[in-house]
Amino acid sequence: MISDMPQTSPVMRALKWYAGFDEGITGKPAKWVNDSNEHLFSSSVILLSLLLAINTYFTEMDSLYLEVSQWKNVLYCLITAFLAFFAWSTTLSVIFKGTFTQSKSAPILGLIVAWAMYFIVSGVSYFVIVGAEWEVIWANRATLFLGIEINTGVVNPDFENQTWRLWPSLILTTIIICSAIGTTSETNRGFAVKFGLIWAACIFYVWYPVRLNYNPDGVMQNLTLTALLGAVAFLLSRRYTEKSEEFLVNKLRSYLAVSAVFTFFIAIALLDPPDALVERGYAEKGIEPFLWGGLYVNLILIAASLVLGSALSVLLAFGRRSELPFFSWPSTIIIEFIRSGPMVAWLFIALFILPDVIRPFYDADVVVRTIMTFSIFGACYIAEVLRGGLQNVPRGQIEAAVALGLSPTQVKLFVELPAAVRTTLPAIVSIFIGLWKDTTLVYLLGVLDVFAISKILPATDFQFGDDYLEPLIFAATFFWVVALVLSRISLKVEKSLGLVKEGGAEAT
Amino acid sequence: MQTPSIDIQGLKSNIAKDPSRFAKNALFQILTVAILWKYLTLFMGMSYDMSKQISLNIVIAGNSSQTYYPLGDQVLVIGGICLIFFALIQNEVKFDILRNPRDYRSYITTISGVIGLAIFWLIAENVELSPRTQAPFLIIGGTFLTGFLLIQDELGKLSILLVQSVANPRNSVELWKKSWQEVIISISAILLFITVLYNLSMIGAYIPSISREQDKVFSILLLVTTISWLLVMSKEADRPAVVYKRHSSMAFLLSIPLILFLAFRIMLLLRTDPTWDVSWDFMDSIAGFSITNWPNQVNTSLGTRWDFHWAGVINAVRVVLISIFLCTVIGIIVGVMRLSNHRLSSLFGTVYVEVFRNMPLALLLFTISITVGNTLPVMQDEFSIANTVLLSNQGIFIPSVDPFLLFVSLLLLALVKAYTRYLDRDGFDDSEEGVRSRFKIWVGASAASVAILLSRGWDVPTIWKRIPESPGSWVVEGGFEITLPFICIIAGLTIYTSAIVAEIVRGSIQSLPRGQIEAGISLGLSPFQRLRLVIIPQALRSMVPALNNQYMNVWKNSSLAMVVAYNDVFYINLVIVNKIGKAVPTFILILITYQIGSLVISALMNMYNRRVTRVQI
Repeated sequence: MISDMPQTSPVMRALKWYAGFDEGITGKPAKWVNDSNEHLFSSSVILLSLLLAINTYFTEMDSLYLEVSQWKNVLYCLITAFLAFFAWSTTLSVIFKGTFTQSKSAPILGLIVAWAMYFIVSGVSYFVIVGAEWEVIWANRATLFLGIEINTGVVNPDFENQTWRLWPSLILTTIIICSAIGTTSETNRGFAVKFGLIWAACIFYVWYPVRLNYNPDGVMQNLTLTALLGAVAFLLSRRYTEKSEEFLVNKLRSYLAVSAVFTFFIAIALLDPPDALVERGYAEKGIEPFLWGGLYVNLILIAASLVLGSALSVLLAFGRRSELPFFSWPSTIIIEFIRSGPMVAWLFIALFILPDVIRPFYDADVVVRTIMTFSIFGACYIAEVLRGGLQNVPRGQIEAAVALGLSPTQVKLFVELPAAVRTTLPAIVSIFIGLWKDTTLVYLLGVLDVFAISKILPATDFQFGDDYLEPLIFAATFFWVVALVLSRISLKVEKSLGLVKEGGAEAT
Repeated sequence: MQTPSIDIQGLKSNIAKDPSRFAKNALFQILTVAILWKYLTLFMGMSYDMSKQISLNIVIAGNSSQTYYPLGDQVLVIGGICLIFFALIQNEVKFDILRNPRDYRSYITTISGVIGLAIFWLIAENVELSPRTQAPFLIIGGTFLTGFLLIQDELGKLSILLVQSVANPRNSVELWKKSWQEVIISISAILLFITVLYNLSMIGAYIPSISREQDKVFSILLLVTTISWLLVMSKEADRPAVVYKRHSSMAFLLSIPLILFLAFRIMLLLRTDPTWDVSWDFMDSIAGFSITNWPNQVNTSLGTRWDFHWAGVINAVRVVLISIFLCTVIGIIVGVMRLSNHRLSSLFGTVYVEVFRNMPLALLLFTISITVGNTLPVMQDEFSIANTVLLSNQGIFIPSVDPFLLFVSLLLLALVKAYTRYLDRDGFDDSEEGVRSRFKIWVGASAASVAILLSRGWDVPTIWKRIPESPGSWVVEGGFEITLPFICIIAGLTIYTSAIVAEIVRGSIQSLPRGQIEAGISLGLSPFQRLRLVIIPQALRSMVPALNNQYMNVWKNSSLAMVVAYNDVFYINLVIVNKIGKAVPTFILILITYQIGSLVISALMNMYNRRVTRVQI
């Protein structure tokens, strides 16, 4: 009988695939299921679950009472119905196929997880699609990115629009990032798809007409210009990479890194030109760092801490490992002292105590002091990780370098450090991700970063009083996206360095 | 004696070979010198001003001026710092010095440093030095002299010469004749310093900058010394021992202005700024604000700040203990789920870890606190589960029992555990009767402890409105209150850390040799038995150091309790700082508290680590 059935019928193959999929979730079927009647069980399970899912669809549709647009209701009910189908099919296949006779744990686990998924995901999608009022985000879409100070220039025509301070930095950053991607092995199509999606998402975010309180044309033009320049940079660097040898490509990468540092200083100088230039009339008066806000202050904090922290960590790591007690004792004391306290304690020390010490020669703003604190804190953690990596450099390499006549500094910079960074890169990146997440703590010092703004947005307008969760989720999504991108980049770099071992325990 | 020499011929040929590179190098060097000069004058200038300020003592009505430090104290502080660096650079004092103290040549330089400091101190105490000119000269000049002598590196020879001349005076003349050239610079520097110090006013009449602009004088001296020694050191690259000492001495020379500035600044701040008043007397007075804590309620109107601090520590320790326990349990469950063959649970584990690992903790805590606060029913609803547990947005009230009975029942369980371990002292009894008897013992013990717990009845929380007409006068009587911030901080810390612990567990399980798991399968163990008996005991070896790090992170992250308004030690101390502004002693206290906590956690985990790694694999 089974030989009579056409084996290649698509329905049969679909049912077979479904049976295999189900076995992974609910466990091996009982003895009364064999090859011949398996498709009967699978098809009956699918049909019944479909009926129950359609029933769930209509029940949910009836129970929705919020006056939202029709497509949102339909979308939510579809998602719920799909989840219900999945949950019911799991339940029915456990009952019909009797998998609980073969093993105890698999069907229970499958049932628990399937129904947990039903409740959790349908609840979350209810909130996201139907229950949430995303107006608060649309009405304040500029504030979250630009901070309150620059936002007043954007939405209020009486104030000067100061976004010109931020566009050059964005353009330069995009060019550098796209050129860097061009030097890797990313395909043209892959890059075009991802970049196009990002550009489309940005345009949609800027253009969406609900609660638009500024003129989006200029912004969209600038975004498109940025995208075009980024694409051109990618193509140019891709061309150069294909044509040139590897050492030239590495040279290009080092030039890109140096220009990234310059871009950072340009960004800071545009936001707040030094007093020497303002007095002589070369530049306009800038925004003082305490008034920086929104997402870009988080980005500036993490960028500065990254650069300064890396430099300091190299010094501290080599200092701690040095044979000379003049360098090793102070390094050890600094590292252990700073690692003993939580980040919040150091931030408040920078707020209350540090100004007294450095006020005679530098009256530092809160943001500058925060950058110093983040740098030293990150440097101590990275120095510890780097010290472990330095210990694992083979002794023969160092001796060979000394025999070749390299000076001690050259040995450290060109032999020990690259080897140590290679092996400890995952841990260092996880420390950076932790530091990126800690930049939200700057709200305790009074700086209105994206987290502080998302906290106070419900209080800004009478109609947004209930929407306390939406801005927080938006801010959380943005942090999550950047952290995810950073960890994916680190995975890629590790693969290209040949370091991937499946299952290394990372620090965080 | 080393003198820098300038090779004119070589310089000309170098310029001829590659003019642009020479120009670039020269530009770079000029830039370095300019930056160095700016740094030196800036910090030396500030140090000089501060040094004049703290040496001057204007006695008004019997009170010394506020910022006066007697010169002997100044010498002790700054000389002490210099002595520490001196000893570090000489690197002679090692731990085997006590084995052969007779070999004085190896540590004579450090002794000479100590003697030098003693001489300076005696000068400062007994000789009358003018406060505006000679006192700064002593301090700043003395520091510079130390750096100069260090980088000359002749003090060793000088000290040995002196000791030998004293030991046998007859041969001393020949000794000095032989080796006077090696030590002449150091001797002349010391003599010059002492001469100028005593005759500063006389010399100052001829060269006013020596007494009025000492900062510029010493900046020039530092610059000249640095540059000349850099030129010498670049030719000395083949003698490592000397190179090390010179590098450290050069670093010390360059950091002298910074060290002086920091020392003087902190000495000034300790006297003038009230936030820098390092004494903990204020902690004995009444705090005057209210917090919630358990078990010992601090009295709002009578509790001293030490009581509040101690209450904060207990609060933080409670949160950390519960969070560590919960996050380990959840982390192991999620980590194992992520590795299972069951597709759904591995998906669930992956999603859980990826979502909560990349989320900032402050944001998570705030979201949880707002959500919980807005979704729990208001007091007005009088929402209770089976009339025993009361839920409201001001806290969860559970029935309370007598704490003494709780203690007794836990003690009973601990005793039963010790008894079962004693029964298993010859090995775990895995037979049928053994398992059954153990099961019976534990069931009986649990029933007995619950019976003891409830023997005196339990106190169910009841809610009633004291004044029916006025709004908001709800009162909950009886019961035990679990405050909302407590729940929020535990939930936040647990969720955040469990994602990280899940990754650690996954990593350490994946690093196990595959053969172990296959052996477990071939022995016929069920998956759960494999996990419990084979995988987890071995995975613990690699997990424990990373878990140690994460537990210390939990302890340090508990300081974020201020986001949810939970009164832990950091929050309470921050309120104290905001009230009376004694920032430095309070933050020292906070740092000490967190350091002690980290050390305790680290010690406990190291003990556990030793237990787990007792067997060498």
